Amino acid sequence: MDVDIVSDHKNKMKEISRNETVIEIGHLKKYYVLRKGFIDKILVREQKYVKAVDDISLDIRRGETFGLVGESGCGKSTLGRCVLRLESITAGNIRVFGQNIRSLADRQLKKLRKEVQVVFQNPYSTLPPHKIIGNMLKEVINHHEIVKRDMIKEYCLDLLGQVGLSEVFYTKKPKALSGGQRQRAAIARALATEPKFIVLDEPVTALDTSIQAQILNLLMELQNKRDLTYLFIAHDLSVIRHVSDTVGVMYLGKLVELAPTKELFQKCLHPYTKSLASSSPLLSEVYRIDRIELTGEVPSPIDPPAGCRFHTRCPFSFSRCSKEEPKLIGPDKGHLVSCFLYS
Amino acid sequence: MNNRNAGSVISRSINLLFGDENIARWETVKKIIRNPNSRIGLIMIGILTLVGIFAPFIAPYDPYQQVLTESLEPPGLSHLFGTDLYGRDVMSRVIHGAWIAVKICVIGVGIAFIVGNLAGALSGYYEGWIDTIIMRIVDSIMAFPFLVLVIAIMAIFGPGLKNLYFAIAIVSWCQYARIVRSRYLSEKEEDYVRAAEAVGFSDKRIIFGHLMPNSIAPTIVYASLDCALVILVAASLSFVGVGAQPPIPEWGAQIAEGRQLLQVGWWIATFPALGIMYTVIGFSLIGDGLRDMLEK
Repeated sequence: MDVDIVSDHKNKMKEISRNETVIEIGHLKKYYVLRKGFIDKILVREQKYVKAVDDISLDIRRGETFGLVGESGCGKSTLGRCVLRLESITAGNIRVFGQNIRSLADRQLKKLRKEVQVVFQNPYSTLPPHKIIGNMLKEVINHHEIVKRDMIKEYCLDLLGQVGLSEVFYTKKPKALSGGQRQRAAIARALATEPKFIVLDEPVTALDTSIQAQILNLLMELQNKRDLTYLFIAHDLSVIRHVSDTVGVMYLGKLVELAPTKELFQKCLHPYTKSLASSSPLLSEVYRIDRIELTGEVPSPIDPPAGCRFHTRCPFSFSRCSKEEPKLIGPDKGHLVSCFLYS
Repeated sequence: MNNRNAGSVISRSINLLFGDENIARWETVKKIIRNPNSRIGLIMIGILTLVGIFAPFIAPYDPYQQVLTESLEPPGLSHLFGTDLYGRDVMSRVIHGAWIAVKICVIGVGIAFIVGNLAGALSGYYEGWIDTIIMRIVDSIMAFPFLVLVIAIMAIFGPGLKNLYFAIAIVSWCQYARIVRSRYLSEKEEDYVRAAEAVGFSDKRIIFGHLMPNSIAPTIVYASLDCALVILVAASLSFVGVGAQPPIPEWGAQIAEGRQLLQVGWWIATFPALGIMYTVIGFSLIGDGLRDMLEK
């Protein structure tokens, strides 16, 4: 009984804190300028852009895991890099803890760097190959002056312990580590600055399945312990279902569906989400989703199709789809979809 | 951890002395020493350097002392390598020449190495207009044959050892810049550089602390091979008369002096030539060994 009350209380506290929005992305656009060739210059052709992220708005609340899913090349990693401010923003706004990150002074930028961290996909290139793990952590900790210099080694060893690495790894170079161990070390580096928000850019994609589960559980455990907020980028819906509270589905730089995880999987609305879910044997079994096979290639983000971007591959498309662009609106509360089938 | 062999005992004591960081560095050094090529090369060049440093104590005679009564003596007990036309001891001159060879390598290749690494780092990391400027300078220098350009620069600055160092440096930094630039271009796309940016490290720290240790290996290999080349170039220049001037005991200059006397005194040109050969082989062996170790 007592335990239940306590956990109820905890959940309530969590609910309250969850309403606080920490990341606000408003009409974010990221275009890459395509270099003009010699002939283009002579013929004065118009400037072309790769529209990696095109007008995306979403909110991430405190303590939640926001799952961002989509095929490769749909712009999900670019979005993550924009939030980290590793990429400049073409248009729109990103607010991180209330701070607009488009224009930051050096000191504010340093604070952002401390509060927002990242874990990358490829464990084999994510660690500096010449540094032992201890030195890599130390450098980060010293840069942000997290702890006093005489405490630093203990702090590092404590970090390694928290991500499930023994003290032996303190003096090891990355090449002596396996993929899963490297990813743990990368997580330790991300945690070293004591961030509040971490962008997880396909952190388990390159690992084999048994290790995937370990890393995912570690990430969830750390989230509870440290009150972290995650932006979890992945292309695997079953991974997303396992970890995230809210899911956004991206296609060609656009958000096509946005819903709480349970909601999304119980009745996914957008044909693209359906096709993604039905392509996973596990999910299609559990949620009885009819197989939707997509034909053709993803169109180029340089010249995206007019109207709904998905209409070239959508089995349900009709004449309106190629003329108008659907808006991201909600038939239900909290479940948004951009498709004319539902408006 | 198994601490069975002597190597790990040493690495443990290094750990106790300097902290954990240096274990990794020591591992690399150990690997280089274990490789037979680089070990022999290092010993050869080590001997050369010692001979060069202690030349005044090792050399039996003063290399500039002319004893005309002992002119053109063949190798024998009093003069192991014989004497030249002016009665100077060839052995002493070869030993003093070792110091000049070491200086050419350290100064000439050293300047080229540093300048090339910096220029390559800037142009590879920043790209854009910095890259264009540096790479066009490199292209224009490399458009000329190496030796011809060095001779031209020597003709402008005038002959002499000091100018020789700089002429060699001016011409040979380009190769380093190119190697480093190409490494940076590929290396900076790696995730660990992205992660370093996300931590908020400065450009300076990313260039020197993260990228340089991972892209310097090929230039170290190139530098040791370059030393061999530079020794030859310096000797050639002195041979044609624009490098070291007589009576400086530079090996190339000595060969030039001995050239006309080959039929009456083969030893005057032969021993400095052997010195050049020894040095070139030594540096090439180091280069080969390092390449095996550092480049996968």
